[in-house]
Amino acid sequence: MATRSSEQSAARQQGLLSMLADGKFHSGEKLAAKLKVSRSAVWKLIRTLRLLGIEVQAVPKQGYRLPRPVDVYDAKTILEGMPRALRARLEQLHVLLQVDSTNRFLSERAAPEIDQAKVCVAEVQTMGKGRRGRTWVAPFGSGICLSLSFKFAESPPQLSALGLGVGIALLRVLDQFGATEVGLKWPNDVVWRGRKLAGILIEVAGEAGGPTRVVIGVGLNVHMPVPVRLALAEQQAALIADLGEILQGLLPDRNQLAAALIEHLIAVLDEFALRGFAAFVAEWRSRDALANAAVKVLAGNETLQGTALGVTDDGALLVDVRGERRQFFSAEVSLRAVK
Amino acid sequence: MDIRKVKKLIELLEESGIAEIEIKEGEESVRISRGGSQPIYHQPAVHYAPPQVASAPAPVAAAAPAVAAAAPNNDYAVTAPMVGTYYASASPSSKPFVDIGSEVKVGDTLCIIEAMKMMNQIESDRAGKVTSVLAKNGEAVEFGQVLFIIE
Repeated sequence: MATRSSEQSAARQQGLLSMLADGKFHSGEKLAAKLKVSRSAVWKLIRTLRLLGIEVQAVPKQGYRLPRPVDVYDAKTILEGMPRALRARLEQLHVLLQVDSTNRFLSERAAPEIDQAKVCVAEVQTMGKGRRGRTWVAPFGSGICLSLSFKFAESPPQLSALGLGVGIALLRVLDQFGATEVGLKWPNDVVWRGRKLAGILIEVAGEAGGPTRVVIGVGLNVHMPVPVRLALAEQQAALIADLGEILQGLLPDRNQLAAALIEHLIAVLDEFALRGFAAFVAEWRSRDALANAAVKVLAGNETLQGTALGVTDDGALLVDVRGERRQFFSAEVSLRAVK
Repeated sequence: MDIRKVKKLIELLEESGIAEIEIKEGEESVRISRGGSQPIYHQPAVHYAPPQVASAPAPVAAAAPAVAAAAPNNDYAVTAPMVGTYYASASPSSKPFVDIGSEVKVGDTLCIIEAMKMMNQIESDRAGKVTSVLAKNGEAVEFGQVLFIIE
């Protein structure tokens, strides 16, 4: 449980960050006056931001600034970006400066009421969850880390394919902001020209045919610095894309993106509750980045080569392996070069 | 009685084609038979798996009900509600949710089954002591496969 003083200092750190967000110089004196703290307290806050990996430049006689303007999260702006009826379904919106993992933050909290949602966004995620403990890399301001907790009255049909439905929600957001050539790689990576643009991780907890709580974590690359890309390419052989390069400078504010994400996620969840994956399967097939591609499938201890044939009505991956049609529910799939 | 022995017996029974085995060990006894007695087993409540998988369960899953029926004590088998990859812990670096000897309450997480990048927390619907952990971390599990025995 956070103590009152740690909440207060988190609020001050966020306050300081919002003031620096414009990328212009701010003198220590003015910052201190606005935050109603001493100048040495401002220095301590700056140091905390730096420890979070946020680069703050300090220039004598000019003050502090961020190397470039950053659209920091703001709860009010996110809420205003959503239709009024939808706001009523959002039980909580947590805007955090720092969190270990937005998914864990929500998983540890009580589930929302049925058909309601709780959302968490964070500027810095120190232990972002990828699948199987892989970390999801997201330096400050580089992307969107958003988690949404939702409760179904009863477990929807084909719940196991929910991740594929959530992929559709992401595509709808990206389409809305004008991104083209974006597709889905089974089960739910969002890719652009073969590179990963966004990832999804879902945690499900539910009881026998009763209410089911899902926590959906979305990581979307918005502006990935070059050093991070290089590190990822080197360490994980992962090639990534970001929204900045796709939209060529016409980048939406992260608050607008977050608002659109919440809106489309809830719309998909509502539809899924009624009709399951059947509501999305046609749209999914039309955006399948692996359709008819030569693929390598890693399933358990088995590595297979074949041709991807799309998804079944349950969302499983269909692969032609030497003339045999096989379906996979849990596997890693990657494109392979054809000789 | 060690559940691994029971599992081994089931395998022997299947290989041999005999209809019934009864083993006595001290005061405990176990009788395992093919078919015949109506098995009492945990009906997986949430039916995630496609029907064709459900109707053709893995050999272990088919054999498991017989154990539940034959076991003389209050053993309760927790089965996989879906096809997927079994994980014993939340992440590779953290410790398993449960081990042999763990006391569990209703609603406690026993393991995670990953399918299509959804991490499904499998919760206990019984309170008791875990006496067997039958799946291995990172291994594929079939619908209906016995994962744990809770006493």
